[in-house]
Amino acid sequence: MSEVTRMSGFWSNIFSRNPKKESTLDLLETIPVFEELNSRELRAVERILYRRTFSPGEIIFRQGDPGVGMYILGEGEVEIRSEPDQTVLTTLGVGSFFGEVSLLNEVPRSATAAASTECVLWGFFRPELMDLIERWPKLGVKILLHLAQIAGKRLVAVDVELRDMRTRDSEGR
Amino acid sequence: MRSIESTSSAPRWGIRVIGVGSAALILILAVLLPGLVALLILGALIAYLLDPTVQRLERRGFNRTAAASMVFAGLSLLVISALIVLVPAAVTQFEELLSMDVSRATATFESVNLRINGWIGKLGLEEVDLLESLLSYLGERIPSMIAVLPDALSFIGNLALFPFIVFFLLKDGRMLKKTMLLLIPNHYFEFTLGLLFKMDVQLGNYLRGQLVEAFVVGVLSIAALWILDVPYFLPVGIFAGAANVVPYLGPSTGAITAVIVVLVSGGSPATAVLIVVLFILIQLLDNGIVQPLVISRKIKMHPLLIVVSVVAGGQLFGFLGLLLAVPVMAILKVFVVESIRYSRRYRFQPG
Repeated sequence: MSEVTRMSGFWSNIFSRNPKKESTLDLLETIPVFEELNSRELRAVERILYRRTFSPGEIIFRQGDPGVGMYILGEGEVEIRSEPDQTVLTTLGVGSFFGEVSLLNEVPRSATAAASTECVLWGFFRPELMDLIERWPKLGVKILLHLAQIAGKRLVAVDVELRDMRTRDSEGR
Repeated sequence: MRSIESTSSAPRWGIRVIGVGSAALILILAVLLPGLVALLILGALIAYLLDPTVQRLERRGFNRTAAASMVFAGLSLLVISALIVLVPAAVTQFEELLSMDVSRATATFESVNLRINGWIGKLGLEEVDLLESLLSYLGERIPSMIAVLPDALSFIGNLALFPFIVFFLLKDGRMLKKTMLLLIPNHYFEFTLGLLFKMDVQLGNYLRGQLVEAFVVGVLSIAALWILDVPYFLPVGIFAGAANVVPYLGPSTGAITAVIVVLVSGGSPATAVLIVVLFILIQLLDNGIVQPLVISRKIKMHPLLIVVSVVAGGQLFGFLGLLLAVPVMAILKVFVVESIRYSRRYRFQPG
């Protein structure tokens, strides 16, 4: 296993709750970004999501491209790959989400996402989040807070992995 | 390792066909029904400019339909009261204009004619009658102006549609944008979404700023002309405000119109000079205070581009085209510049 594959704390689905539920609202309820939202707020979020379908092998976004927002996996599986060597960092299933950092800032995508099966994804993008913050600041702040918490948790996970790698490296010498 | 080449399934081809078909339909409509298309553009612009007000109401807990209805009702009230105030005033001023004593203007015209003919005589050339040339020119033009009347009538017919266009674009604009984005292939979806966002950031501020600027310049012009006791100060001031939207040409057009009105209606040359001074002051005020306050980001356009777009807008869509030429050109410019700049950051090739 390559070092990159081992260090996947940023991309792996550390928030998965395996929803196996049917409606979009049920799916959204399980996503930490929308935690603590009431049903009215969840419906408002549902209205601004974009439903996109992808064929097996189709690129969702590419490493290095400007990030516009996050995706929630409704059906199918998605592979997260590092370029240029195409190393698979992780495979995500239903109820997973990815790309949420670009909701906060237009940072380049840090990996490529590709559909490995027929996929249904729900896209939540920065223009819609900005619009939501304008129209419904309370809801916008709730989402932003959770996004910041998720970014923090991912950072901690990456930090722990880095420390483990350093320990393994020093033990190996 | 599995290849990550793009694949396209049959339904996606269907979506592309719908997308190309819709674009073709819009082009055909633009050629066949330019008046309606101009109204749609104007309606979309107004709805876009009013969107922040609707959003402010949504923030207070109103749903989109209620918020859009309230803003639309407010706008209608404003337009109706403006019409109640302006139409009788405009009719009265128009009647005055028709019954105006033009003897003084004719006398001025004849004295200028005499002087010119004096110079021409010294040069040994044939004398000209300016008044007759002008009247024969107008005689040729007036029938063609009257021939435009049926177009104007169909325009008024379309105008009845206008409130509906504005209301539904205001209420459903966001949904309409989302539906149109669904037609974009996955390959270009994020790019399109990001591009629209960047355009919105640049244009929203610019277009709203232009509107506020035109309003301020219009009010100041009306006040200046009223103080100087210029006849028809209301329509001339409104025209000066609207013309201000066109950079370079607009401000001078407003001042020239006011000067012509003063001179033709028998005003003194001193008043004409005062008008020019006041219009220069208004421009200084606009450039020094109003613009920095309302427009944070300017969209620079070459003067030649502005002249060409205003002429083309006028020829293609008449008066509305003149009014919309510069904002539409600003939208096109931002679209082209941002598309090129933003696409450089994307890798569209598959695999």
